[in-house]
Amino acid sequence: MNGIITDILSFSLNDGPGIRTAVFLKGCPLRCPWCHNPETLSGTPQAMWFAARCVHCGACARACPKGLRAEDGSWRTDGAACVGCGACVRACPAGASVMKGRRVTPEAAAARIERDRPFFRGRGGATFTGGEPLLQAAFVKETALLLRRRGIPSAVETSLFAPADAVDSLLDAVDLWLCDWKETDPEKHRLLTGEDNAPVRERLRRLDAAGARIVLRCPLIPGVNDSPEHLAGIAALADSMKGIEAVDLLPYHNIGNDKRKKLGLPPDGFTPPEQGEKEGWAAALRGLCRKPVRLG
Amino acid sequence: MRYFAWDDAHLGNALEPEFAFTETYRAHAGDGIAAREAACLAVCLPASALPPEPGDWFVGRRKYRPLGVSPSYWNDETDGLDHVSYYADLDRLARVMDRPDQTPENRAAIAGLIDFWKDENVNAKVRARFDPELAKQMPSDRWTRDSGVIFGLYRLAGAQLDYDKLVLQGLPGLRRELERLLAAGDCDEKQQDFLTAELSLISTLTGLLASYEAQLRALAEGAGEADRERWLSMASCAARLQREKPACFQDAVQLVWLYSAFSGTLDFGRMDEYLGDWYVHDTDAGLLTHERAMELLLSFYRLMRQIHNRDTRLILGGLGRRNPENADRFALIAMEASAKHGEMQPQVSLRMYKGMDPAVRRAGLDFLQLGMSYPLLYNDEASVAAVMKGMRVSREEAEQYAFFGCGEYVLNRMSMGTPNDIINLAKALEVTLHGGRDPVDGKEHGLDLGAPEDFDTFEKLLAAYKKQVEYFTELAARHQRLVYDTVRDSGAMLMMSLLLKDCVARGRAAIDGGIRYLAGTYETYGNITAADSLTAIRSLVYEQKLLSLRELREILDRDFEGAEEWRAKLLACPKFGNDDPAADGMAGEIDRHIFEFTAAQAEKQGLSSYLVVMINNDANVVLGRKTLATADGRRAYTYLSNGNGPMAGMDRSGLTSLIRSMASTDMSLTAGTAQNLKLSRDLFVRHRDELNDLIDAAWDLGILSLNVSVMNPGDMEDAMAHPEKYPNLFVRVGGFSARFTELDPGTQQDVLHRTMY
Repeated sequence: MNGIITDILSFSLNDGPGIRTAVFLKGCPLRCPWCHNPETLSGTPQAMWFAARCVHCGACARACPKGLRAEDGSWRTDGAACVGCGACVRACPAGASVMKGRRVTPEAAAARIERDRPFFRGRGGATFTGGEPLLQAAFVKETALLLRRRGIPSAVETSLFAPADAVDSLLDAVDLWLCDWKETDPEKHRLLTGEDNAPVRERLRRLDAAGARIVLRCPLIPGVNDSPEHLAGIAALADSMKGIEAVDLLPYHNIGNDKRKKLGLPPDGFTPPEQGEKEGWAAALRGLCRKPVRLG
Repeated sequence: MRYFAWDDAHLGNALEPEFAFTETYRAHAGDGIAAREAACLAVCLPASALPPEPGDWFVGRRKYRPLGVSPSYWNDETDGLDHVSYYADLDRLARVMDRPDQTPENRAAIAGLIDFWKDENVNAKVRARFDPELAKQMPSDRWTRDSGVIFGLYRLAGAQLDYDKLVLQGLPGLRRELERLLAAGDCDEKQQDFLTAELSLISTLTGLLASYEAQLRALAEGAGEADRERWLSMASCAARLQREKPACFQDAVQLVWLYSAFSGTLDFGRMDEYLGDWYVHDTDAGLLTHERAMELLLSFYRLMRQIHNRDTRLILGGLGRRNPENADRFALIAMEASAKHGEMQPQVSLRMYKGMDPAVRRAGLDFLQLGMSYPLLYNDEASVAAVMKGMRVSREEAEQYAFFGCGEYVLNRMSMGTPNDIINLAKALEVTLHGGRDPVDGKEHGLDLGAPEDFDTFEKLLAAYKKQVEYFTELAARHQRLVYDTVRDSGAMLMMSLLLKDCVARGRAAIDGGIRYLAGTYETYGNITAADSLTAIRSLVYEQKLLSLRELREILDRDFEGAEEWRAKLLACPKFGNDDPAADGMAGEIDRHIFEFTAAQAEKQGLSSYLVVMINNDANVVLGRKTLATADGRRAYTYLSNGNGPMAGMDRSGLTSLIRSMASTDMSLTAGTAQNLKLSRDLFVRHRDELNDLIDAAWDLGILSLNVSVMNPGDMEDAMAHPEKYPNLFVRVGGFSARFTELDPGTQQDVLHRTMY
């Protein structure tokens, strides 16, 4: 059972407690327009172009079967049309064209994560994120169990937009669930992500009933989902479930736009909030919610 | 450096002290070596003394005159080189001689001085003893100007003196010990010479105090009330120290500063241990307020900054202190004062160990968070083990490890070992590829081990590189011995010898059998540049066979001109700093080789140990300016890697991978390694638990020390555009810290390109 991942990154400080090593799994059922990790949306490998490394030799342009690259190597047309054949990556002498997406076995992933063991120190561990890790639940389960046998805890960062049995299958392998709650209003949720949030609510109940440790993770995008109603919805949800230990507010950050550029995609068009605005959200939520509220 | 030596404006045309010094030196030519040095010190120490300045709490301002005797003299307004023992700043003397308003008599007399000292200064005497091989391979000492693989440094100042003994006994106590030994009557001629000379030195120091006391009383007469109180307090202190041992914290600091200023050693050892009891006693007895203690420490630090302006290590914390609780209390105020002081000297360093007081650790990280690069962090568990192995001493002695200047390990109060030579390992590879010729200046250099075609396997190339490095390492060890021997035959280094174990007990000068451990060290530069280059050569030339070694050499010789694709391929090869077994393995292989080969020189040269220090100041930039493009993809004449760190920016796999790479080679056969980290302030402010985990993990992995620069993302880029906005952006370059905006552009580029985490 191999996983398809974009990367395994060390020293992640915002995806669970302690120092964590994050496994970015490819593929996501949702299409949130503010996505920070657009390279993980597609479930198949894709080429990214790192302008700073490019020597503009044009090798990739000559190699691309779809004619997607300009003669100087930069993106010319819609990067979404990239089929991930890897011809440009093999042709590039400079490491400027990079394939995002590779297959990895649970054993290899666990071995890589274990290199970071000295840094976990009883607090940190692995975090499976993405993309949507529950789309590759079997891989996550196997890797997490390997890690657990070696004393390394695992967290999963998920939209919970996945079949109930995928959630159930991980209950015994995952120590902490970092669960997205993107928008309380079901209609608005559908508008933003393309899907209803009712299944997400149901999976949360399921996790809670099973005694899972949960942190609610709420991306907030100015003018999109920062309404008082949504904040009230977050508070109500958090207070309604015993298993939810805390709420993390994740204010929009435009880091995804740099990756969108490297993928040949247009910018997402959102503006990051000011510090005062972020603190206002946190203060408002703290006034409504009994659980700890943290500003990411 | 502005403050280190007298500038032209402070030197009169007649140079009376220089003539008096030279007269004394000549008059005592027939005396014992120690006696002559004592006589010379009696002339040159008072001549270099300066009066206190407003706001000072301690006397002992001093500037080196162009002639003198000191373990170290250095003046970057003239040749910028280190001089040792009897030194002569010939450029400075010539400048006074050539002044337009100089009299013909003075001019002729100064010409005579220059003529005498050009061969009589100890640096020149060392060179005069060079055998033909040393002369050929080390034609120049001007490492900042000339091209070469190896250069001599002529430094002996690095030793951590026994300030504890100084403040516990005072000058009278030291005098009594010498008198007792002399009175015992079983001294041979050499011991007699040495001990008598040390007595004379104590008289010189007492005389200095007397002269300061008179100055202070005169200052008090004309001063307003507030100043008068301070001058009088200092005067009684100067009076007391002539007759008694220190009676209070202020006395103890005064005596340490005076001794440091005139001894020519620049480092302050385990200050928390030797000042801790005084500080705690006076504080708890209600004799010293926090405010006054801060005032005293700030004055002390200001003097370090203004007079030494270099090295000034101040070590806090660690195993092996006799008074850990008192020492820790001093450590807290020492860091508080340094944060307030806001300058690069002293270089506050914190030895960390399992079980240390959490309050001291927390205060250290709070201080580090300010972004002054202090304290520099040391890992006691790994360092003590390394020192036991590298310096071949007991655990008890290894717990006394200290370090100076850039961080070179030495045993507190009982060993010497200032780096005495530097080697550019990237250059060693370069001359190996060029048949024993330096392609930058075209001269023969090193061994001719064959043409590129002769290296038909990678193993042959690697063996040739190692042979080249061994050749230069042997030269460095011989040069180290030659410096020691020449200094031994010239002077007794009386000020250092008086406070280094076991000189007084043995009645012998430090280098003449007095010091317990006469060690040596030598600095390597470009370790990782050389390692990454070899990794890339192995991959492209020998494994993938994409081009020949000769073709690669030609590409490097023309700095990748028309070969950008090749440069890109070289850059894409594995690099140190990414937890990559190929890259880290190569670094480990060549590091281990030079560590072991260097350590093996100790026995041959009669040293207690001879070790590599892998700590770079900005010489990685200076030596890089004379190094062609390298096979790691580095462009010609740009900076080399720094210390045990990746080539700037080549660590792309995250902080844990960088630390694993840095920890991948056993560093215990070194006398110190620099691990530079550039961390975001956010990590300190929002993720303190994780920061603690990170440090503990690095220590568990065996990293000896960490140099941490803390800043906000974008600060450096912005500071290059708007330097006026960033007067307090401090960075650790490697062996020293600096205001970023005051660094030379080459070093700015190095630091800027290091990865920030």
